[in-house]
Amino acid sequence: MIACDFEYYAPSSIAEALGTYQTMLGKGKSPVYYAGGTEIITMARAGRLRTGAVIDIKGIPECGVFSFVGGQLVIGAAVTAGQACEANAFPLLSAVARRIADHTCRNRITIGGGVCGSLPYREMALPFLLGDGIAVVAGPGGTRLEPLHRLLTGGATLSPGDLLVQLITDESVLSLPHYAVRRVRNSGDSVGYPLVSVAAVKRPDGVKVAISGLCTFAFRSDEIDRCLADTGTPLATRVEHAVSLVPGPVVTDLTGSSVYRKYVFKQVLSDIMTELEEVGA
Amino acid sequence: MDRTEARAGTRDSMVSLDAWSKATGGAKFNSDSIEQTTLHAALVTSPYAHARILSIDTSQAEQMPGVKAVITCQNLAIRCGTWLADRPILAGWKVRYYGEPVAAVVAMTQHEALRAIEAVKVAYEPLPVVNSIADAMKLGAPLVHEDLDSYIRIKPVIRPRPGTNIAHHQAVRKGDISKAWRECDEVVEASYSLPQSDHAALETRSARVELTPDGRVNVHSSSQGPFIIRKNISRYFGVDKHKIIVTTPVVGGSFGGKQSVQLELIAFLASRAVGGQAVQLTATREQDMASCPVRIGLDAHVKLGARRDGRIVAAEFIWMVDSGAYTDMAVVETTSIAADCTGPYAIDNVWCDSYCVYTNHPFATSFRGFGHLEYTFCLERTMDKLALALGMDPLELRLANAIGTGHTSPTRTPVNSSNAGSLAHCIGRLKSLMNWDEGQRIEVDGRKVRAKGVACMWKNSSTPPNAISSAILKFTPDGSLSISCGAVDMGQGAKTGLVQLLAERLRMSPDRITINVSVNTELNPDHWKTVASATTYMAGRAVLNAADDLLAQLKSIAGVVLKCPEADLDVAEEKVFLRDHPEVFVPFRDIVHGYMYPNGNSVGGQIIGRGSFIMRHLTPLDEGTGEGKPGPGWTVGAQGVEVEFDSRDCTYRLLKAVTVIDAGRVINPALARLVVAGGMSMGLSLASREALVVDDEGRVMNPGFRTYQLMRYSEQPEYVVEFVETPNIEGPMGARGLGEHGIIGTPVALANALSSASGVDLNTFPLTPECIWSRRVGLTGDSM
Amino acid sequence: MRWSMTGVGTLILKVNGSFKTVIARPSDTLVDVVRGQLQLTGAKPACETGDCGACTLLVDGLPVKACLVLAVEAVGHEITTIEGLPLVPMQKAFVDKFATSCGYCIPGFILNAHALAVHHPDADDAVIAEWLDSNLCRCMSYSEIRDAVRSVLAGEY
Ligand SMILES: Cc1cc2nc3c(=O)[nH]c(=O)nc-3n(C[C@H](O)[C@H](O)[C@H](O)COP(=O)(O)OP(=O)(O)OC[C@H]3O[C@@H](n4cnc5c(N)ncnc54)[C@H](O)[C@@H]3O)c2cc1C
Ligand code: FES
Ligand code: FES
Repeated sequence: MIACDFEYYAPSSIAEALGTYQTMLGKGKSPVYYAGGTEIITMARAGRLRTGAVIDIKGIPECGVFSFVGGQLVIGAAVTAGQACEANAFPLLSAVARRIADHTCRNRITIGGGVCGSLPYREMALPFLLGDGIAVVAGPGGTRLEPLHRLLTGGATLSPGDLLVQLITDESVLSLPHYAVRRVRNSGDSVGYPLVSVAAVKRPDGVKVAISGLCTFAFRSDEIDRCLADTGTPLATRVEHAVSLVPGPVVTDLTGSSVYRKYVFKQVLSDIMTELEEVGA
Repeated sequence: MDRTEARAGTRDSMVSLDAWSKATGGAKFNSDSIEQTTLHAALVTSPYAHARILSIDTSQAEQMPGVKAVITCQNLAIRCGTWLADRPILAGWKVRYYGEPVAAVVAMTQHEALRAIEAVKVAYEPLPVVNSIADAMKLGAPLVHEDLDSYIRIKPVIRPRPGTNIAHHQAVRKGDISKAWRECDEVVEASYSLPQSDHAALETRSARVELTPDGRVNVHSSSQGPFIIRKNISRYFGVDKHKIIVTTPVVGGSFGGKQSVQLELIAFLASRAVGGQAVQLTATREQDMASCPVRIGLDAHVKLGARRDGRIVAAEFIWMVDSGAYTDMAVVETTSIAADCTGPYAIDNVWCDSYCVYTNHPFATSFRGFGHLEYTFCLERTMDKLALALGMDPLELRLANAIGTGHTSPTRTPVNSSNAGSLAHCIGRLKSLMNWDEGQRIEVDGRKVRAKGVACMWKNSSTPPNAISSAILKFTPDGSLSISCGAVDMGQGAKTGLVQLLAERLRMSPDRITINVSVNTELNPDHWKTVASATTYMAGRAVLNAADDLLAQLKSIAGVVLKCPEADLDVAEEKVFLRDHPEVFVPFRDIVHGYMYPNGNSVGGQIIGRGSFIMRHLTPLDEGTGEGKPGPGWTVGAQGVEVEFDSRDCTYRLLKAVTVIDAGRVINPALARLVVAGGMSMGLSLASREALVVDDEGRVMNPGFRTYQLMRYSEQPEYVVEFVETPNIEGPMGARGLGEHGIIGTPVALANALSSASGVDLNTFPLTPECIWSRRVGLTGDSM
Repeated sequence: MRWSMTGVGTLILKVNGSFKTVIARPSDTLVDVVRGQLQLTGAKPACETGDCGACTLLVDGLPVKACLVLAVEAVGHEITTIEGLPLVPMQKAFVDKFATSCGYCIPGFILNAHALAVHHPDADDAVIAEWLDSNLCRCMSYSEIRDAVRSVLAGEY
């Protein structure tokens, strides 16, 4: 049971959503956009989120699209992980999304919620980071396009009141050879937060990886990609070096310690490289 | 008649009586029938593991919308417990564990209660935390209970040591241990440390209490011990027992965790504070895991000595039970561990010290296996080490020491095939079911190995010497009948078994027998509590006694009707008939509500059978030597687990889990398998991933299923369950208890398999890949 | 605005085929409302964090965890609870295969498994596992549940 009270708004357009946000902000209601609600409800119940108004974006047409437009795949922020997996237009997204939470939860968890959520993992972002995804963001100053990786790793973060409307991925990305590996605290594929979750695509200039679980944020790193692309160096050395390039402290938490995470990360990287370097080689 | 017997047999896998109600949502659990007028309580819990309470300010909370009362126990002297009265209903002058209930708010609605708990202001002064058994046993350690001396000893067998953190000690001294060590060719010893974990029944604990103007106390609880609740409320609040009516509907799993009386007492105070109105208190999952009692932790040292031929001649054990902040049932488990400490092995010289130790962890209560899975883990890991040292096959070593007729238990009870079945037989079956001869460790490829681990186990029921159970059988006019008994249904299928036992004894169809689903202490006859795998044994005996009473009455009136001696009569298919002329009979329906002569005169009346059972010849263990008889007998078994281990990742796949148990007589094979496989599954979940994680301040870090993870569907191995049947002469139709046994040896069988697979000595659980990896690389691991 | 709800109010929910009026706060979850107001207590709260699946209901035929859905969001959708299942094969299979122990997890499991059978009548073991990993059972070994689900998918009912 959620102890606190909040108001519920279901706008039917982006403008209405943004307007409602500003109005509620003005009334001191600390509004939040509400998509799948899985994180908002969990946090509100635990008393870790105080909001006076939730703005449900699922009725906004733009947020529900899932279509190809001019060589680009456009996915609305309110599309659920389940719908994305079922449609399977973006195989790497399916592969990653199908490991987040569990099947039933994925019928609610949205693409946008997975990218904007406050948990450090944001695994949903990995495929878009690798695909140089473009975020369509509607804010008080109008609608703009931002490379997703800039939103996530510093630069232009989503500011309060910004609504993630869609994610755009170039069609050419969808057919890239890819691989995703995820390891959790327990053996096997069980449900749980990732120790390490790595998604990878193979581009002509080498394998690119996007990483979650290792640090307090999901990231891509050009240094790591460059290091891995240096095929002249033995794989073990590259992998060892890649670990040293991780752009932040490696986390110790209930899922696992930082030393163990690094150990697992190395294995995951070698598995990915072994798998993808062979493709088309 | 043959047809009926086939249908009625206890050999049948009759579907659980309540299966349909559970599959259609009709089964009502304790929180499923809350009336609109019921008030709701919510708990304020401690954010510290050990702290003095300086003040509790409830004034602001009392002003909040919907709030009816805020209760605290700062001025209430009542302390409760099982053997030792050490626990206040709500924390008094200090808190002793993270999550300890400190105050309760009663409000019109649940959300109003939840909102008001945040307005209760408690000022604490943190105290040094006793965060492990090692901390607790240190000289000069901070005391969890400074006033241990003054606590009421509810049972005289409790032996607290004031001025220390030791709540209880039980010794076992058998044979001549110092002489025995000199006879050993090989001695192995090892230390173990097992963390606390949670029962995690899917239904969280809940209680609803109402005090009526005529002085009655109505309690609705998700408890497995409604009669214990009645006893507690009577003891603590001075209410006559007949005025306390406790109702327990269907219970959503309990595994030992729902026999502590905790929320009921808080709900009682809450109801009293609002003039007796009904108050519902349901634990959230987080509270169910941290504020309500958990499974014990155990630190242990085990030393075994054997002759070259594998015969174990000496065994020394130190068990230290992490009981957390209060003793509850952990003291009883401490004794139970001592009583069965050698496992199902014949060892003549035993030196054992079993301690119940206070820490600032959540308090512990009974958990499926009642201390046995924990000590068995340590013992059976050491058995594998001994086998290694002797160069002997692990199963051969176990077989060579299997207890049997002519041996005695650690508490010097003579063992025979009736009270202990046949372990040797179980080991034999296990060996072939595990395909043991192919080898214990098989390389699959460069990275993967397949490995097997085994363990043996036994368990006595550890009931109080005067534990009782009763049953009442009542005919309807058409000759069908109902059983009324006080045992609670928690999914273990025991009540279906009782119907089958009765059907078999009366030689009628079980379809014509019903049994009460919910238990009500006013309506149903007493049953000690639904624990210790003793329901089939105790309630089964009571039902059979009641059946005999019923048969005597049936024959008595039928003898009048048929004008013959009762001795010439027999009963089957709802008829009483002449033994040598079955065609001469009177149907049940003509006599069970009185018999009417053709002229209208009637005799007899409703036939009601009553049966009672009390444990026989049990004695508490002697303080100095442990001599005594803690239960009527043991259920023995042999278990194995097979894994595929990835030696690079230290991950593994569970391939197969096997249990062979001497059930005496299997009543309802499908339900027996269900409960044993359920125990095995819980054991695998526990050993592979479950532990309550506490930080340096003693705070529980993972109360909730996101981080306290249970095994899921896709991780299950193949389960193989087999039964050996060496009848227990005292058991109903020869049966022994089964409810807990599936779990006991499973965790250690997994540890033995993984130790063998990884080449690393794994002396703890949970056996996460990181745990194995960190031991392999020699780290203790800095994960939380 | 499609619509809004700013405080305690009435909602009309379509549950098990008929329209029901409930009084709810906007922050009430669907599991709170179907249990508290409609006495449809087959949906069980057991974690309220989306981890256990005991509260599973079908919304427009798909399983969702009703502890992670607001009641107000369910307006305009078809909600099915265990009480609304017209005795489907999955229920019979759970009974026949002894896949009920304490029963607390069972309504959630059955609704999820029933939806699976409807959406993927030809599901293989991997798909079954993907779906059923959403629910926890603490009493049983899951092997009974596996047998029940497999038997329905194999057309035995
Ligand atoms: C059982 C369970 C297991 C989980 N396991 C994992 C896991 O293994 N790995 C992992 O990464 N995550 C995991 N999660 C977390 C899960 O990813 C988040 O709960 C989910 O991504 C949130 O999505 P949602 O659509 O429900 O978002 P909501 O709860 O609706 O929103 C989450 C946050 O994002 C904001 N937001 C949502 N949409 C937008 C938008 N379009 N524009 C701007 N802001 C927006 C909201 O304001 C809110 O702050 C798990 C969750 C559950 C319930
Ligand atoms: S109560 Fe909803 S998933 Fe557990
Ligand atoms: S039957 Fe008890 S939790 Fe599944």
